[in-house]
Amino acid sequence: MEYKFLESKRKEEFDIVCQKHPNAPRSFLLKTDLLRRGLAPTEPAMKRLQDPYYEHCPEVLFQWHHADRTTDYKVPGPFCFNDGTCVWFILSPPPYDPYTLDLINDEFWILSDGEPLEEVHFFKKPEYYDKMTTSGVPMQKVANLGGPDMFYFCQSRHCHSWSEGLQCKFCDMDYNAKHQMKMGRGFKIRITPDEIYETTCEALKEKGRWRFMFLTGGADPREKFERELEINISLIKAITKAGKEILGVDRLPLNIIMTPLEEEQNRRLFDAGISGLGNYIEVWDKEKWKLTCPGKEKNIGYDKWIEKTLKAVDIFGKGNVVCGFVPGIEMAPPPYGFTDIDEAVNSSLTGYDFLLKNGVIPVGSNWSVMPGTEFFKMGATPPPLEFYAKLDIGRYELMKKHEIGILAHQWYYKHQPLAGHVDWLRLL
Amino acid sequence: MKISLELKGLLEDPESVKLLTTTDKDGVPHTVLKGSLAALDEDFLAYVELFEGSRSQKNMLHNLWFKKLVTIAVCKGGLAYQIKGEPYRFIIEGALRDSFFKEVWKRMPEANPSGVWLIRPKEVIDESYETQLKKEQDRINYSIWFQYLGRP
Repeated sequence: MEYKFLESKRKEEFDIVCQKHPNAPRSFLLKTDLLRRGLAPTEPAMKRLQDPYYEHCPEVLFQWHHADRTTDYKVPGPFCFNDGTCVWFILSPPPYDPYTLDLINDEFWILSDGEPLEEVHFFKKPEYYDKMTTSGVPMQKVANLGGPDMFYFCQSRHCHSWSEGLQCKFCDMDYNAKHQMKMGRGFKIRITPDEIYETTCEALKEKGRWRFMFLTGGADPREKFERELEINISLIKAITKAGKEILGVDRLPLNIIMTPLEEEQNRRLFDAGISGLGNYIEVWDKEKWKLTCPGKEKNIGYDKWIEKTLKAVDIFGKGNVVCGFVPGIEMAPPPYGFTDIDEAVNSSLTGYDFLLKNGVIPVGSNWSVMPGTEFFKMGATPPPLEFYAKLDIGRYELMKKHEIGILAHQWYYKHQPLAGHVDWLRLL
Repeated sequence: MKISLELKGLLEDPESVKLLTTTDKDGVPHTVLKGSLAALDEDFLAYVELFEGSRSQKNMLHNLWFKKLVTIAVCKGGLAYQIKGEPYRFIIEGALRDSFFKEVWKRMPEANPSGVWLIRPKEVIDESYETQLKKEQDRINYSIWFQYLGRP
């Protein structure tokens, strides 16, 4: 029978999937479902979250919510369960049948039809968040909390594929940039080396907190990505300089997500201070890739994308190159996705297996159907929870088979509140 | 179940021996020394987990997810307690994590601890020699039937 998300009942679907997979920790499945169905916080919960102790998401890069956030309330980014599982705070409209965030005995809880499922904890605001760069930019707009011990930079909130209407069908990058500006939430499209240097210096002063950081942003294919690379290298050097000055280290645990580059370009990234590289292919099936990521298809091409990603292992080392996916878009509306769960799962697992064999770790953030994306405009809805359960368990089995769980720690459960595969690594 | 002042003091004593026993998915026990184990307040015990991939860490997660009790044994001299408790929370961020990590880093600056576990005691058993002896002696006619004859 065809799965209809909007007609499925949250509690019923969750219980069935839990019963089908009794060995899957329930918190992993709940996280996945929270990312899929989102949250509807109660008024008392939202009021309590306004406490300046908590981190409030600067809302750069992507919006992640399933509807435009137009409220005045500030919302957090990541939060965690009692077992340390980290989840991103995604707001959802009623048709998504979202989970409830409420207070019980003054503590935050996730509820489903009134039943308390998990106590949750929100993170404290990083100490640099309220400081300003000398150019007058709030530092939280330069570096954002991505997990309890991780922050990230979005160096450009414009992807050139949007200029040609060739953006990936699940992406809301430029739409989000405009939306945040419209809402009057201080916004900057590009950050400069000075801003990133000053912010990194301030962030690193909070000693003993951070373990990981990464850079990501819109692609610029001009001059074979050379312009984008040059800008990124200037930013990486600024970050590395801050690490040297504040911590006395030559390299920071720094990752960058970029379009696959030539070997010589990767070498420059490494020399500037990058230790982990992410080339995000998004979806494995070649034909669906061409349809879903037309900008990537135009500027690089599927085969080249994979070839260059594998080649990057020579520079960064086995396990330090990751290939990102958007788990869920395998089941986008046809012809972009499959209608059969197993077909969709197996397509991606084939890709994961191939990558793992070649020393590349499959990672990524689960699909969030966001306003402004092409999929949203098509009326797309999330795939069944069963799809994610099968995909994450399948990937876990592959990680076990290839015995390289330890190498994937650059994207660990504390660093990825937007996908379930990282949590399974805790069992390896 | 509340943690008594005597037990709290025993846990705080640096000369106490503190052991944690967890079980894996097959019920196989695994016992380790946990020097950082302390009573947080009357309601919770806490310790620092140093390694993300340790067997104890995996067992603790399993025991949390599938609601299995763990055991803590603490002793010094004649004082000894056993505590059965449930893993309650793995703290990865915030003031408590910071204060526990700070103590670890004083002794082991090279360490990269993974987090702080909170355990909620469900049962506290006084295993002290004096207490156990008293229990035995309370048995009927203990003095008649339970004495080794000819002890040196």
